[in-house]
Amino acid sequence: MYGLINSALRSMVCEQYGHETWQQVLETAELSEEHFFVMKSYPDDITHKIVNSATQILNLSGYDLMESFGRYWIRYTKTAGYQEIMDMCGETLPEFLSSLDDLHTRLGVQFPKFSPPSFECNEVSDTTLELHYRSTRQGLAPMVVGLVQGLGDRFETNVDITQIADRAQGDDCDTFLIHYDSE
Amino acid sequence: MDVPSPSQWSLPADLLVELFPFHIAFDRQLNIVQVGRSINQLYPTSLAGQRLDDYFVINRPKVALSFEVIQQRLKSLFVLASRHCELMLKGQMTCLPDSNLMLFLCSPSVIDAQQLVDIGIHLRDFPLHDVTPDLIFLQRTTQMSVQQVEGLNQQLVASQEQLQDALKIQEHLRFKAEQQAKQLERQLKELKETQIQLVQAEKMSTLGQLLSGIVHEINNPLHCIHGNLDHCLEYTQELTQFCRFLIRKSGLECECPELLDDETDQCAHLQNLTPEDYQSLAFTLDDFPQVIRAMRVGTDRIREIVKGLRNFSRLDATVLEEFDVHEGIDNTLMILKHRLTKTNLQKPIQVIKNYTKVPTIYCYSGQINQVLMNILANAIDALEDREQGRSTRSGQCDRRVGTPCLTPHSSDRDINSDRHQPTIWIQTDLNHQGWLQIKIRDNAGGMPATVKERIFEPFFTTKPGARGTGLGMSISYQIVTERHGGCLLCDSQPDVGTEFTIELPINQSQLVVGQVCG
Repeated sequence: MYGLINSALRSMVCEQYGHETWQQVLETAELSEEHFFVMKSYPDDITHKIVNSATQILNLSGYDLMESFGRYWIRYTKTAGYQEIMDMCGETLPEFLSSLDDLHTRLGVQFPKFSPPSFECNEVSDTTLELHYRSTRQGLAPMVVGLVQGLGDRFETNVDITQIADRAQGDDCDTFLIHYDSE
Repeated sequence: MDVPSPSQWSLPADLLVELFPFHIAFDRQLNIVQVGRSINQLYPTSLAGQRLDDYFVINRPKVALSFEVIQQRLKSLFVLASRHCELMLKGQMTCLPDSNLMLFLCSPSVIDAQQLVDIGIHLRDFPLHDVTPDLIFLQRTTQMSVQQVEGLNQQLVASQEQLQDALKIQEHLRFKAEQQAKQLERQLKELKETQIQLVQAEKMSTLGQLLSGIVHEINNPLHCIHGNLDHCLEYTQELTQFCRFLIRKSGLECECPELLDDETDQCAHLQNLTPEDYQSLAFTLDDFPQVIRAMRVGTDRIREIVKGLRNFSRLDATVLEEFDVHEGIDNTLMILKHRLTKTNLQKPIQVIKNYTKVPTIYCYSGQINQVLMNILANAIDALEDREQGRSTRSGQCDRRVGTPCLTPHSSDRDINSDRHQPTIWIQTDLNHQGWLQIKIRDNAGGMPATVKERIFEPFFTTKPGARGTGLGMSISYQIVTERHGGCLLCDSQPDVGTEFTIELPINQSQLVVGQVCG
């Protein structure tokens, strides 16, 4: 996992719970890194340790934490210098979701060790989309829920997201049904 | 299935527009024939049919915007700048074969994503094969990494500065601490020197009291001896003359005849002794032994005084020795006797002693004598002040430096019986710990609590002028507590009196570190 993800986790914990809590998370995770380099690839184990530690310290379930992180991620990328790139990805929620896969493909060029997830977006109706999510990593589906909610915040659109297929339950991929308010 | 050769197929025009959304085709007159959709969307009307030079200028290479000129530079990388917006198009010019058309296949030339956003170009406007968005992403990511490194570098520099500041402060504090340590060392040295001088002054004060007492005590017997010496001489002469007369009269030969010379005339009157002469001789024979005995009494007294002074002569003794506390008290009283019976007092100070049989103790006897001397002399000072009406605090408060306890005393009735009789009570006993306890009490009027609580402070004195060094009680406290591990307490009741209690271990082996009185 690239340092950008770990930096975002750090930023979320510090911003919402304070720097001392982040120090506790690091201590519990038995990590000494205070800063993560955006472009450096870190072992996935570090991210897992941070998430596990944070769930203990913050008394949150893994699902809640990852959903919360997904939602925060949209805000973080905006403030962390990716606003223009995000702006380039579309002006509406369906437009953005449609270009999400291309965005990750392009990011895979920048971050060769990224193993980016893939997104397939199908229009079900004028206000409904079906989003198929595939990743080599386990347990990140809740983050997708948060991401979509975060995009709803970004485009000031009410979003209702339901997971209708679960890879953990043997489905081919994680699939989400997304209802949103049309403009 | 046969694979068509390149010559058998060509790109349909609509597919060219789809695959290359950034392109411009123009003719020799620079009329725009076709424009890619991503360029066209940036303008309110279609650019097709418009003149190229109305909308664009050539930035690179530096050549004129002319079909023929461009045709000569087909191997150059061209950059066209929009006349109406910030759009810059970078790409390749291609002259279509057998045609008067020039095709400019291009892509936006931008340095960051913000420029694209400002121009109004989105990710979807790029063909998937275009690497421009990848370059923009890469540029953005690189920029962010640089920013992060810069941020960390700034933090590092700030930390270094803080560290340097902290080191400077530390160095400054170290320097200051060193200076203060040196100053303290100097002050400590000066203080020690001053202390030595003051302790010496206190010793001299004690010595002064000693000398004063000694002079007074020795003076009386000495005066007696000296006064009787004249009588002795006179009696001796008289008896000597009589002896010579008797020798001469006996006619015996004298081994030392010169002793009998020149005495004839003086002895002449012995030839005819009158009754008065016999009476005088008889008186001499009677008085001479009495005079000698009186002188003997005088010398005995002096010897006794000298013996009593023995312990006082060892104020600096560093060896523990056996000490009879009653003897010490008596010797001290003997030295202070002249002050107890001062003629200028309306009433002499009476001393009531209540000695209990106590064992001798091991201590620095000279120092304990010094303590007894300080306390007793202070009591006498206070009683004198009271007697002479010189006390200024409520007319009853004594001047000195002392504590309380005023425990029921066997002689309390003496206070009650005559409150105006200046009295010092001295009581010895063993306390519950088996330590020697000496209580010295007076009825000099006591002292206020504010004075009492400061009585053992160095340099604290209520005595006027140069009468006290202010160290007597402080040194006494030090001697009792620090040198002997004992206790020195003071109890005082205003308008009544003051009582000092000295508690000393019988021997120093009784002393337990950290033991407190009580």
